Amino acid sequence: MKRLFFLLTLLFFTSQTLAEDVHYHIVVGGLSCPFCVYGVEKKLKNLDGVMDIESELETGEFFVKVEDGASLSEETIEELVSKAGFTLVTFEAIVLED
Amino acid sequence: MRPAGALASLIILLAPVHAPAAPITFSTALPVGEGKFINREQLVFTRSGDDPGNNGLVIDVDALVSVLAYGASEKLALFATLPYLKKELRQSGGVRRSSKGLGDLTIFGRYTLFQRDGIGRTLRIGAIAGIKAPTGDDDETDALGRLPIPLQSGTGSWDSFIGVVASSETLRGGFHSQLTYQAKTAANNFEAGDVSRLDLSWQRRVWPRALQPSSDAFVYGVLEANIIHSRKSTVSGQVNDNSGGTTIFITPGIQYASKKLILEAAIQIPVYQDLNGTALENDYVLRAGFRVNY
Repeated sequence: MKRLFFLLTLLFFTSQTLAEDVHYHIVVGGLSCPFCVYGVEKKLKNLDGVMDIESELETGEFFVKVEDGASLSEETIEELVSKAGFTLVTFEAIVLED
Repeated sequence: MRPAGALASLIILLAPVHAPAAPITFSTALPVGEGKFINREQLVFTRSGDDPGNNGLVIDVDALVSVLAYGASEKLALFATLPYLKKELRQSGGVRRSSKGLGDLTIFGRYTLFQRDGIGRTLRIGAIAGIKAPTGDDDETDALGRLPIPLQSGTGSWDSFIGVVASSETLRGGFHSQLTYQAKTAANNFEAGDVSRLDLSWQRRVWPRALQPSSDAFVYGVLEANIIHSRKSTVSGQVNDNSGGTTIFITPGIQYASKKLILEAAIQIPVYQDLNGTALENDYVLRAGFRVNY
């Protein structure tokens, strides 16, 4: 039983180490105050797989972290940003491998 | 019929409180995201007591104006405005009459005609159009009989308005303007004069002075101007020469904006009043309220 627990624990950490850490770098135009940022953040949070969002008002940047296996498409984000009342400037997927 | 001269002014002062965004005394072209709600509540204290007729006439109107904005699409936003009003008229000789109740419901839409976005900046122009329904009580009475028109919570009339609104905003502040025309209709043998108005708002971020990555709330200094021209009203088809005219307000204010909440306060000071006959002049309009981002 002890050996089984050890093997399962090792398997868990191995899978974590090999997982790809996917982030998305999104730049939005038209944001001029914190009240505007919230509208975009709220729509991003409602997307499946989105874990965490950080925003930078001055540059219009959003850093979005998604769950393992989840992904976002530029078309989806462009539509989302447009529905929030703003304009998508750039969309970039960043894959970090540990 | 002197108090009737104040009616149009009071309605005009309350009606612009239908905006979910930047200016304090009027609307904006800034977006309401699709499927999103914004609620605005504003207390408006209006005093009209500069009586050219020397009868010591004073009318106070205290209002809580509730506004709900909804983003129907990325370009179309819908707004509903409903005031709760408490009105009091005082006159020399100890005459005192009052009323309170829900006022008229205003529903309008704003469609974005032009939008140009950049990093930290936006320029938008929109068209607005709406109607005011006679939902408020317009036949209130007291011990002295039927209350005069300015004291009724509702006007009894279906009114409409059209206009154009423009907003240019950056991270340092913004400039907003609105031009509207309100067409009045008759009710209870009274028809308020149509109203044309031009509103301007200039905002400057005063805190934080320099943006930091952690900056998630701003404080703005606000300066607005409202130029309002009202045509003469008619009573039983006869023009009331003691009504209508032009008023210009200068409005300093302050606004705190965070991601979910905006707090704001302003005082509208009449710096120019060219009113017809003995129409009651305005002393001030004090506004304070908040907006919540859902």
